[in-house]
Amino acid sequence: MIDQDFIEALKKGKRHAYEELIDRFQDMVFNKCLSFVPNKEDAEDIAQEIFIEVFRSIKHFKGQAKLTTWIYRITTNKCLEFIRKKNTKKRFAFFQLVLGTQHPVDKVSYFTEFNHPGVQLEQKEQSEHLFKAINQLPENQKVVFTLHKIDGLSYKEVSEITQKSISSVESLMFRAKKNLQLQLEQYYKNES
Amino acid sequence: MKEDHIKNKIENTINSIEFIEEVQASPFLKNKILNSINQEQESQHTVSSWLTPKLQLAALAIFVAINIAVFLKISEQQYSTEVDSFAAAYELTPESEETLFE
Repeated sequence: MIDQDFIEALKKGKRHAYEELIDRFQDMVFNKCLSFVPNKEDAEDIAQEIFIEVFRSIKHFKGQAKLTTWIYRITTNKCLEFIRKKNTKKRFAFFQLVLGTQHPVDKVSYFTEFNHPGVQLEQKEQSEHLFKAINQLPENQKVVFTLHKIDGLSYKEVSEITQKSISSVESLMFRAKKNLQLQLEQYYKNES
Repeated sequence: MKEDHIKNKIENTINSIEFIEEVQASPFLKNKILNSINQEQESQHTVSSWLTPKLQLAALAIFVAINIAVFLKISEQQYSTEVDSFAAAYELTPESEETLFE
């Protein structure tokens, strides 16, 4: 339970409060980053950015949502921002490829190198396919699927983070599953 | 047969989520974050240390005073004289207009 005094100490910029905040949340933030960006180094960089954002905007935190939910929201936004930037770079790299530069095609198919420390070696290939398929989903479906299925949050928690109603979360989840199945089916059909 | 095989593969791929384990952040992450926050705090401090509210207010007062002084100094008459001389210099007056049909 996070008390008001702790939030006040954060707002005043107390160093001990920040140390406590990092101790409490660093594993959670790092794991959530990995759920969106399955690369250890990238996830660490994003985690760092998230805590700096928390530091910058804690004065605007009004306590309407739980601190955990608020940090989750920042985490989701920062991860999506990172993916968008990387995808734009990859698209640019693709054009470079079309225009005759030297990048091989497989390096432009996904926004990051798959390196998730929580994935066992025997599951690596399947997980890699899954993460690639998730990345192809529309952003709102991607967020809902990642938060619910990978991070294991309830629909209620997902609705609080995404600020959507539970019924729209359910509907997005249904469409995400359907789209994922279609994409994987297409992938495995092409493969065989 | 082939359809079933693909269905199985899809199911296994989606179920691979269950095998993802929680990991611990690097022990150096905390120090990295605290260093970045310190840098952020210092950069905020350097700006805020010399740009005090008193200085901000004084700068604003000077800015407003200069504006009022300039506004009062430039009368409308002066303005129209300046416009006339500008028009004369660039031959924009009705007298200086020439047409091909004259």
